[in-house]
Amino acid sequence: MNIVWTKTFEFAYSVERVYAAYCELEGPAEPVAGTSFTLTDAAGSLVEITDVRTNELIAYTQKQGDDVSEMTIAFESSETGTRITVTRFGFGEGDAFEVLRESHMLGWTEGMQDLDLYLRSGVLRRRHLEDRCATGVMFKETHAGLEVRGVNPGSLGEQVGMQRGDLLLSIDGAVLYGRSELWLFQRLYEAGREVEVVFARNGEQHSARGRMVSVDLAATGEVGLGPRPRE
Amino acid sequence: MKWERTFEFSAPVDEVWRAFRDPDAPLRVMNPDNAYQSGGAVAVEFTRVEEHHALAWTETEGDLVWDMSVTFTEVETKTRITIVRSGFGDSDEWLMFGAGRLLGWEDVLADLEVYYRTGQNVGRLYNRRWGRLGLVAVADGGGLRLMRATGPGEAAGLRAGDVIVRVGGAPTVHESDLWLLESVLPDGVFEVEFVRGPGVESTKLELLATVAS
Repeated sequence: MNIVWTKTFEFAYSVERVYAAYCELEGPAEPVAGTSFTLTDAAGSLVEITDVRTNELIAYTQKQGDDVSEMTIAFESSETGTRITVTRFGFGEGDAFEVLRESHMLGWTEGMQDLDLYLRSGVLRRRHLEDRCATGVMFKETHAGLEVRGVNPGSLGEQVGMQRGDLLLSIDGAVLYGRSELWLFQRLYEAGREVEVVFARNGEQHSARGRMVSVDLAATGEVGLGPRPRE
Repeated sequence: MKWERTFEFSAPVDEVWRAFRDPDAPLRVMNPDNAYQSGGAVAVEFTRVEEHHALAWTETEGDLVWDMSVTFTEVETKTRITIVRSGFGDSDEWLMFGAGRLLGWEDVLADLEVYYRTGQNVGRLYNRRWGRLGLVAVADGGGLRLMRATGPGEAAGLRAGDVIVRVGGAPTVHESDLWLLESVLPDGVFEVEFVRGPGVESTKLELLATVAS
């Protein structure tokens, strides 16, 4: 498999402490190679732990529909404490693969912030698991902003007439540039909430009203795909 | 501390150059002699101007000094620019200005690309309703670490060092979260959850209609 993405995160605590906190948050508390479990994410991903070296590394495969990936979470001492390197391996191409790559990496970034918060304060907040609604639109991050790559039937995107290639500019007057801002709306608003959406197409700005939809109608990559707690 | 980003634009080099240098360009990202709209006191001194190729300047704001450089490269029909921002400092003030300004640059350049792709001058960055929360924070400490609380934020008892984890029911993680929340939340009283010592504390913040400078 190829490296799909890799990212490092620094923590101001010892490897032993970070490793234990990670296992406590993400589970299992004592991971064992060869065991498997189902995540509570929307897709019900199946996780199989393939390698465990205490305070060094956890590796697993994750099956989410047709998408199969391998993850390694490596722990090492750094000048400031501990460095975690998260790497995702897999194969794929096309919009859905690209969008999942972005979404997965952002979800992990948020998950690592939850871990840092937990280490510093003892407060356990799974902020990246709090989506309450969705747009039902598959967005790809581009330099210009969020570009529509797919619109689910019945979604907010369909209600406001979005098409592939449109650029999302604002929701309820608040400007958006990237996926993290879209996620904030999904955590701030409830499903059924009416919103005003502005998007650009062919040199024109379009404005229309529609309703946020249930997370069950979420498009690929729309809800965080970082680490999720077990059932 | 050094920050470097590369951006690609759907326009030829001379057009992108104009956005930086030509007062008559349809969309500009900075004024040729006055950097950008920063709310005031930024002094800019250009140190290098090579047409269609490179630009460098020094920015001074109070005690804070930055070097900026932009290089322009033609890639087929597009333009790639690399922006480097460098300087010295590790104070909270330095971090605070650094984080906000960098995000601002990314947003302004994204607006420029929207213009090249659609012909629309959306001016998203300048449409934000700045300063309504009175909270300035950087992503750190597992959340948004407050660098400064003024106005509504200060009145709510929040202070530098607090880590903001929730505003108005929405969890906060990214630096842009507070910018977006103060743009979208209506006037009224909102709960802010934060971490100061062990555990989470909560306070009420009254969001102002008027926008502070």
